[in-house]
This record gives sequence, C-alpha cells and structure tokens, in this order.
Amino acid sequence: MTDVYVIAGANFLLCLACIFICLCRLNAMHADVKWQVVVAYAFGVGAFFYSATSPWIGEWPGTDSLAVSTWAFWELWSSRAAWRGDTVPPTASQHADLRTLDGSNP
Amino acid sequence: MSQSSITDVVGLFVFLSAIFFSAEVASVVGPYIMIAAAAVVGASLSLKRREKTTRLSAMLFFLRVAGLAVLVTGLIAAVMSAQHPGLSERAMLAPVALVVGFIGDDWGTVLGKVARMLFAAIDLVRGKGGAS
Repeated sequence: MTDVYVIAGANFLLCLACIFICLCRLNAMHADVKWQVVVAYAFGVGAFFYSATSPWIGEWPGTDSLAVSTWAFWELWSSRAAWRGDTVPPTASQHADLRTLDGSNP
Repeated sequence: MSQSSITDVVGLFVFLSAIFFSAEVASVVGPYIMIAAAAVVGASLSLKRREKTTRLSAMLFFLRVAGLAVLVTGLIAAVMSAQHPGLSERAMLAPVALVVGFIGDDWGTVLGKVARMLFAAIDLVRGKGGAS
C-alpha cells in the first residue's frame, strides 16, 4: 500500500509542476498565438489536474501514469530555454542542433 | 435517510474533513473533480485572454476563477435543469463549469450583454403592444 501512496504522491507533484508550467505559458501568450497551441496547453492543465486528483475518486495512478507524467514534465522542462523570460517562442520548434556543441556524447 | 445532493458544497467539505481516501468520499468528490477539471480548462483559456501579468497574479487569477466555477456551477446547473427538465443537472455540470471558467473576469461584459438583450426584448414587446 505504501508504494501506491508514493506513486500517487510523485504523480501529484509532477502534475502540479506541469500545471504550473502550463499556466505560466498561458499567461505569457499574446493574442496572436495560434488557438491550437492555447487549447493544447488549456487541455493539458485539465488533464494534469485530473491525473493529480484521480486518487480522490478511487483511481490510483500506477507506474504507467507516473511514466507519462514524468515524460510530460521532462518535455515541458526541456523547452524552458525557448520560453525564457515568459516570452512566447516564434516557432514551435526552433532550429537547434540536437547534438552537443563539441560533438561529445554525454 | 435520503442521500444529500451531489452538489452540496458544504456537505462535500464536511465529508472530506471526516474521511479521506475512501469509496464513500470518492462517490461524493467524483462530480466535483469533474467540475474542477472542466473549470480549470475554462480558467486556463480565460487566463490566456488576459493581459500578461506576473506569475503570482496569474496563479491567483486562475485559482479565483476556478474556485468560483466550482462554487457556482452546481447552483447554475440546478437552475438550468429546473428550467429545462430534459437536461439533467448531472449532465449540465461539466459544460456549465467550462463556461463559468471561460468567462473569467468578464462577468460585467456578459451581464451587460444579457441586460441589453433583456431590454431589447422588453422594447420589442412594448413596441408590439403599442402598435396593436
């Protein structure tokens, strides 16, 4: 039973962090941001909220939910540079070299 | 004893404080989780419509709008269900929560439009009454 609580707690914290990031980005968005992007973040807030509060309705998250939450958090966290200073990036995926600059393999 | 309404806010918080994480709580909290999930989506869209502010201000706005939606959705859904018996209160909860969250701080504008429509309808009726 302890594992269930730990997974639910970790999932809750991850979802809370994702909600915070989504809300900060929605706050930063200006009028000419594509509606698809707005809806994606808005539904993201709803989905993370539902996932975080699912234990209250008897749906305990498992390791699968935790894996998806971790991935979602990592995706949002990875794009922090593009959203630095709470400004909307001009493109969905900026031109960036996915390799390390010195060619090393970290 | 008959079961209290699923949208009884006071009953909900009494229930939450008495028991935590049980099937009984789940049956009461379930509709509220659904209302809150719909409300946060609406509040998120409302947050986007606002001018960019500080993060703290944005979070407070979001919590205020979502909280308001959770509080008033049950009442609005009950009134609408009473007006239109074909629509059950349970079915109205999520859409009402979404709309209340979506309106956000624009209640003045929305109520102003409703008042203008009401006055226009009254003028229409009075005009017809005078013409006949």
